[in-house]
Parts: sequence; structure tokens; C-alpha cells
Amino acid sequence: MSRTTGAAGVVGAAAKGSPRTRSYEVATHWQLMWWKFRRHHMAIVGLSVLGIFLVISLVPEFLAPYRAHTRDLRYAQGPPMGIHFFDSTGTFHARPFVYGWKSERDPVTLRRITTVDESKLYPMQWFVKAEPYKLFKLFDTDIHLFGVEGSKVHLFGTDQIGRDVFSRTIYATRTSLSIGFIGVMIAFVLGLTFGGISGYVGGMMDLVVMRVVEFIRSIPTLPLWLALAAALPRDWSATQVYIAVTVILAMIGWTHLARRVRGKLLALREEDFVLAARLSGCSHVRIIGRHMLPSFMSYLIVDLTISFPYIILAETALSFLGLGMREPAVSWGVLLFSAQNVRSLVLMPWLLIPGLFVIVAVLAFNFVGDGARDAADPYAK
Amino acid sequence: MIIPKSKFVRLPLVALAAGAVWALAGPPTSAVAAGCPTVAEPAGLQTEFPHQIELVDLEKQTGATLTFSERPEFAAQVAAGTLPPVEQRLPEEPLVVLPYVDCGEYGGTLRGFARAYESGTSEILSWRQLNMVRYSDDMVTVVPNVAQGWTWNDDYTEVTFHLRKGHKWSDGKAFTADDVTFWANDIINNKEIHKETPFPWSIGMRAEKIDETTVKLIFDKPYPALLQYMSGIGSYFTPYANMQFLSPMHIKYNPDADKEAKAAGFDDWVARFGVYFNKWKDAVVAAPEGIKVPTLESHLMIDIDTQRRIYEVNPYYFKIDSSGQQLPYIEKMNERFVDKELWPIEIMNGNLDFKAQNMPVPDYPILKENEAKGNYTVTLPPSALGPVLIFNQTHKDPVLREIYADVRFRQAMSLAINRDEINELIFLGLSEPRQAVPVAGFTKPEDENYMIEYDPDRANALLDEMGLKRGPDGIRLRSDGKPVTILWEFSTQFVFTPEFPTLIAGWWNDVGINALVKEVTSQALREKGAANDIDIAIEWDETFEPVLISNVSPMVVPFSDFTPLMGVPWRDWLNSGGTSGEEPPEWAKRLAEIAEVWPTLVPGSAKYTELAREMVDIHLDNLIIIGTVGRIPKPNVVSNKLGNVPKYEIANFGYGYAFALRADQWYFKN
Repeated sequence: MSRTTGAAGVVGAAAKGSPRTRSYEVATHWQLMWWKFRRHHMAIVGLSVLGIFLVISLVPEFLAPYRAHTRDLRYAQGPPMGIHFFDSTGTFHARPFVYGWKSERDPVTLRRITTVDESKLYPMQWFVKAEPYKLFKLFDTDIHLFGVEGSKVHLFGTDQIGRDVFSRTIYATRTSLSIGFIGVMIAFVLGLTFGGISGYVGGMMDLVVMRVVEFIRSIPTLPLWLALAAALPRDWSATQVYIAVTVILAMIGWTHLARRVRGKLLALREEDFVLAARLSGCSHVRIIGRHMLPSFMSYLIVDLTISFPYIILAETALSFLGLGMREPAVSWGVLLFSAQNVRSLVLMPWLLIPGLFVIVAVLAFNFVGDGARDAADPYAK
Repeated sequence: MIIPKSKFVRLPLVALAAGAVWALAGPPTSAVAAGCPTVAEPAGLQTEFPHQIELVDLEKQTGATLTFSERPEFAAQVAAGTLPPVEQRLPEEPLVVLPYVDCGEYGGTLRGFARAYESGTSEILSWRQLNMVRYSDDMVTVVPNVAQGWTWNDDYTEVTFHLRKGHKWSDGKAFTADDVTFWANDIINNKEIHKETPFPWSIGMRAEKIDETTVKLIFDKPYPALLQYMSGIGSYFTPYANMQFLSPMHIKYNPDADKEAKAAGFDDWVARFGVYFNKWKDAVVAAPEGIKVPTLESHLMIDIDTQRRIYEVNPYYFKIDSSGQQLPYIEKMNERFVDKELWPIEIMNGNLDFKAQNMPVPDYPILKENEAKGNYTVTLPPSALGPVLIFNQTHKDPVLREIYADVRFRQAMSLAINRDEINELIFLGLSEPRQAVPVAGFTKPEDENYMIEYDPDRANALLDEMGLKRGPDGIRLRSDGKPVTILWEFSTQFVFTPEFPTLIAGWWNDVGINALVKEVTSQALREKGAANDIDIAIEWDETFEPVLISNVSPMVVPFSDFTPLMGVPWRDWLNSGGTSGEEPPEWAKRLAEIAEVWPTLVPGSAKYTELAREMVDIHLDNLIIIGTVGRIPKPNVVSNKLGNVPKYEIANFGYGYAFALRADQWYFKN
């Protein structure tokens, strides 16, 4: 087991005692983890990406040039607009611009076709005044990060009814990530707490918790969802319903983690280092938090990073019961759902762009998880 | 009216002649020298009904006896004596069909697809329908089909059908008046099979056999629209049943039927009977059990599994073309079950010969772009589809009920919808913005254009007049101070695409009405509608005169017979004679009165038109149903290899989709 060899490694490193490793010797556990994590380049990239997503989730109103439901009728079903530095004559413009365009229907195929009008240039502007919104639900403002004046800019094109795909993707990022976060954290905390108590205390407590876990797991999911579909207030919006469903699913989902945590703790309880800690008079909280948890943190991290993508991808799966995210809610799942047909693939392939966000988010979580798992065991070589 | 005459003297001669031709020339595969009058070139032939003629009339006009020719597929069987020759398989008076362009060639396999075997997406099922009569392709003229002719009594309470002598089921046994009386008296009127007599027979109907080929249907009330019903929506429900096959399962004819059914694993005899006889052909004749049931249709189903359904030509089909070839030309049909999302790919790759049913309009551009690649032609026949909205004026919330019941509110909601944008963004600019009035001869253009303009100012004025003041966030407030919130639960099946309600909710929000749009399943929506638990009922078909004639329910409380309903307590009041439910307003009572009388009138008569007009006026004055866009076309894909497929005039469920296109005379060009 890497955890026990890790503990032996501390002894080995301390025995050398060279000046170069002094900081290493006196560093705290968390410092060691961070140093190790930093060496994992992909994890750093992943963490940066998640940081960007966090910023997006905090201020989508500012970053998106338009609101999620604003329609640009004249550019409906229009492709992504290119941002140019050079115009058709080859002249360089320091301020990037988008071209004007004309949208019309092909008389034969009835397909909507957008043609670029290279005679009209609309320079991109920073901090433009556009649709008003409330930042953090507190401050009234109408400043958006970028935009163009006199026209519209659609970086990712527009959808069937003319809504800006870029803006919608930005708003969807907040919905999808925050709901995923709520669901995963609830399951994680519950699983850790109950699994921990059950595994560490054992005896009667273990018996009770495990029977409760079995009871919860024996509830058939489909009737439960059906009951939820009937029980949740009808006047809740799709997003509210989905949050409720996520929470309830997490209430059931923690049992998997709890069982595994319990099993791990049962095994660790008998380890020498735990016995040593106990003999040294450590409190139970300290033994669990300080000695036992870190030794299987890598496992927990993997569990966490796997659950995140799962909950993001599961978004639309429940829609057949009216419990999932559907139009007019805006989430990654909803955006991708509208792209799930041959027509969209052929006529409006840009509707798939939100899919890239999902891929990037899932990869970022996995890289961070990968790095964190290695780092969680800082003494392992 | 056509009265069948016995032709038994002629028959042996024809048989002899046909046999001689057979022996000398081998199996004929195309039009013989006798000529081939077609719709394109009738060669001076005068027909009483468009595109078809009875054999006796044809021979009278040509002055020659028509020689029937044998199908090449059956030559070996006929020679071996396992199948009777064509002249013995055909009725004595086969129906002569004028092909559209030319007398076709035998053979080929027509490829189609449906979503699953019980779905409503199969045109092969829709065009196999055979009723006593049918619509010609003008969708107006009723023409003979299984029946050679019909006679009404003076007050339209009795109709006599004249069947074809010698008409045979696909197992070679005789089809007679008994099959009609069995269907009417022992199935439709059997209280165990039908606890409630199915529509439209609930007006009271029984059948009486006059002789082997003459049968009379007798109604308790005049039913002059019977033939229109049979030709249109009723074409899905054949008014006869195979007595020889089914009666051993019927308790009246076999006292042991119940015991036998239980031994076979069914609950009772009714359950077993229902498996082999069902009013909706999708469910049974299309399912594996259907293979065993003999039919009169052009093709027999010979194999079915979870992937596809295969049909083969019926050797006893009762129609011939004008050159004497027995129909149908196409030998086999292979209908695969394909996920709807994959249809465009399959079509673009040329894996299909015909598709019209359930085709979404927004797919048209990709289908059109790939026409050459898939060797097909896609057209856009008009249809009568278009989602309409019905505010529930019997809403359980008294404040909302008061709002929804105010005609100014409904007018404002209609004026706040930008129909041109819906048309442009969702329906490729192909639909027509129109108010929800029937697509019918008795409506005028001004009815269709009533309050369909996008006029948010006027909508706001109407809402202000109602006293719905705007709150701080711009949403209007109800009399109890809460914001006006419509809970609009919808199902994609009814609104085509979730963007449709999203768009409308956006415009309503602009005039200060908050609409919470939420997707639920069709089933949930139906249940909520039946429980008077919805804010907006949606219909996706426009009311359409040929359908309306036989089923007036879309225009009277509760404004549907199947989909979400409006005014359930009113319906209960009307049905119970005022003892339960809630009393409806005067206009709803008047509609119910009209609905009693109207179906008993002769379509097109003065009284019929007058009452229809009154219904339309009541609807517009009260704006009970808010129309959006209508006449949405349905893409129709036809392989370039198929011959004799006419231009689709209208694609509608009420006409049985491709039913009027006479698929039995399509053929594959070499």
C-alpha cells in the first residue's frame, strides 16, 4: 500500500537531513500536497480551466454580450461570426471587427443562408452598454465585457429562433456547474460522515447505519422519480425542479460512497499507525481527520471527480419524466439536446459548440483529480 | 346508382381466352394490345366516377371483352393447381382502375419505414385501408371501393351497400353480407366487446342482410355523412370482419370460446377476440397476430419482427387496371422500423421509396439538398396542421378562471403572438398565420384573419381595460395582488418543438403576462386535461371539414375527444342534463345544441352551412380557441423509380394520408 510506504518515506527523508530538504521536512501536509500538485502540469491547466469556469459562473451577465433569451431575429440560424483583423483588401485593423451580413432563405431548399457583407465593418468594443442586468443580484448596470455597436456579434452563431449561442453557453455554464456542485457535495459530505462514523465506531452504530443504507438503496428509483414528478410543486420552473431532483438523488447517492468509506476505515482501523495514534492519546476526530482520511484521500478524490461529469451528463436523462432540464431552462444539457438530430448537424453544426465546454469541463475535472490524487499522497515517489 | 348484374355467362369464355394467351405467349408482363386508358390519356373513355369504372361499363364502351392477365409470380402455382387462375380469383365484377400515367409492370419491393409497429407513422398501413367507399383524389367525390354501389333511403336512416359477387378474402373464401352483419351486430353492438359503442356507431346502428351481396345499415338517427366518414377518418376502421375466421372465437357462435381463450392464456374470450379484431389497424393487423387474419387488402403481411414488416401481394385483390392486369403491380413491401431521428439519413442515402406521414417540416432543406444523391423527389403538399391554444375557462383557481373567461384576455393573448415570426423561425415560412377556424368551405378569409395581427399595444390596452395593473417587475397583478402566472405545461408532440411555447411565452411576457413554460409527457398532459387541471389545452390538428363532418367534437365542449380538454365541468353538466358539473355559459350551450343537429344534416345543404356558420361565429366572438399558424405542409418523399404516383393535393390524417393516391397502381419503372 502506497500509504504505508509513504509513512516509511518520511522516516527515510528525515534521516538524510541535508539542508536542501529542510523546507521539505518542516513543510505541512498541505504544503507538500501543493508542491506535488504543482509539478503535475495537466492538473495546473485543469485547475486554471476550472478557475475560468468559476469566473464565468459568477458573472455570466457581464461576460455574455446578450441575455440567454434575447433573440436576434435577423440573424436567426446564423453561423458563428468570424472576428477579423484584416479586411477584404488586406488592410490591418488594430481593433478587431466583424463583418456585416445579410440573411435570406434559399428559394429552392428553403434553407436560411447568411452571406457576409464585406463592405460593412463593425469594430469590436470593450465594455459596451447594452441590456441592463443586476450584477450579483445587487448592482444595476448595463456594461457588458464586449460587443459591437450598430450591429450584433454572435461568436458561436445563433440557434433556431435567433438566440446567441455564445451567451447561452455562458449562462449554461453557471447552471450546469452549480447544480453539479450542489449534488456532488451533498452526496460527498453525507457519504463521508456516515461512512466514517460507521467504519470507525463500528458495533451497534455500524449496524444501524448500514441497515439504513440498505433500506435507502432498496428504494426502486423509477417509482421514486414518478412520485417526485407528482409531488414537486407544479409552478416550479425546470431549473428549480432539477435542483430538487439533484438534491434528492444525492440523498440517495451518498450510500455508495458511505459503504466504500466504511470498508476502508474498517481496514485502516487495525493499522499500526492508527493504533499508535490511539495509544498517544489522540482524539477520535484527530485520528480520523489527521491520520485515516489523508491515507485514502486519493480514493475520495477519484470518486469526486468521477461524479462531477456524471451529474453534468445526466442532466437531460430525466427529462422524459418532466424532471430534467428542458427548454426554456438554459444548461449545457439543454443546449446539446437541441443539437441531437441530423437536421442540426447538417444545417447548424455550431449548436454543438456547447459540447466542447462539456468535454473541456470533464477533462479539467479529471486532470485536477489526477493531480490531486498523486498530490494527496505527497510522500509517494 | 350502380346495381351489380350477374356476368356468369361471360366468365368461362374469358377464362378460356386467358388460358389460350397464357399457353402461347407465356406470362404477360405488361399492357396487352387491348389498350390501356389512363387518367392522362382516357382514350375517350367516359367514367361515372373519376379514375375508375365498373367492368360492365368499360366493356360496354369498348365493345370488347376485357382479357384478364395472370401475374408472373403466380404462374407456377396456377400451373401446379395450387392457386386458381386469375379469373377465378377476381370477383365477377372487379373494379377497373385507370392508372395515372400508364399500365405498370409487375414486381419490385417498395421500401418504407415506420417508427414501430404500433405507431401512427406507417403510411403502408394507411394506404392499405379498404372501406366500402373512398375519396377520389379530389378529396371530395365519394367513389365505390369494396362496395360496388350504395342506395340511401329518403331520410338518410338506411343505406344499402351492394357488394361484389364472388369477392374473396385472401384465403380464397367468399366475402359476403354476413361479414358485414357479423361486424355490426356481433362486434360493434356487442356489449362485452364494446362497453360503450364506439364512435360514430353510438348514434345507434345495426345491419341487415338482404342477400349474399346486399346488406343494409340502419341508423336510429339520420346519418347522411356516413360515406364521408367512411372515406375519410373512418377509412382506418373497416365496416366488416372476417366471420369465418373470427366467429369461432366469439361466444355467440362458439359456447366454448371462453374456455378455449382461457386455455390459450387469455383472460376471457373478449381478450382473445380483441387481439385478432381491433378497430385500430395498427394494433392488430399490423402485429404478428395479424398475419393469420385473412384480408381484402392489396398486400398481405407475411412476416414481422422487431426490425421490419414484410408484405406480399394478395392473389385475391379485387381490382384490375384498364388493360386487364390484376392489381397491385408492386409485389412486395418492406417496412423497416427506424428511429425517427435517423429518417433523414436513411432518406438521403436512398433507402426509401415513399414517406409522407410524420415528416417534420424543418427537415425539408436537408432532404431537398440531397434529392439527387438519394434519387428521390421531395415535395411539400399542404396539410391542415397547426397548433392551437385553448385557455381553460373552468380553471380550478377562481381568480385565473375569471381572467381566462374574459374574452378581452383571450383577444389580448391572440394579439400578442407574432405569428409571422413563428412561421419564419419554426416553419420555414411555409405555414399561414391564421385564426383557429375550420379549414372548410363555410369559412371566409376574414374569419381566418380575425385578430391574428401582432399588436402588443392593443393587447396592452385590453389587459389594462380588464384592470390588470402592472406590478413593479412589469408583470400584471391579479385582483388578489399576485402576479398573473400561466402555468403552460406542454408536450412536444402537440407543439412540434419546445421553441414554439418559448417564443409565445416571451411575447406574452412583453405585455405583462408571465407564462411558466414546462415540458411534460403527452400522457401526463392528457391526464391533467381530463382532470380539469391545465391552464392551456393544445391541439395540433386544425379542425378540417372532412373530419369535422363525422366528428364535431373539436368545436364543442370540451373541444377535443382525445387530447387535452377544456371545460370538463361544463361537459359533465351537459352530459348529465344539469345534475353534476357546472353550468356552462350560453354560447357553450348553444354549441352543444348545434352539435346534436349538425351531424344529421346533409353536408353542403343550406341548413348544414347555416349551422356551421353559427358555430364559427360563436367561436370567433368568444375566441375560445386561439389559432397560431396553420396549413403547415408535410414533406413528402417519393422515389424517382416509382411510377403512377400523382401529385399530393393535401396530406392529412383525416384523409388517411396517402390513401387517396391509390398505391395499388404504383409500379417500379425499369
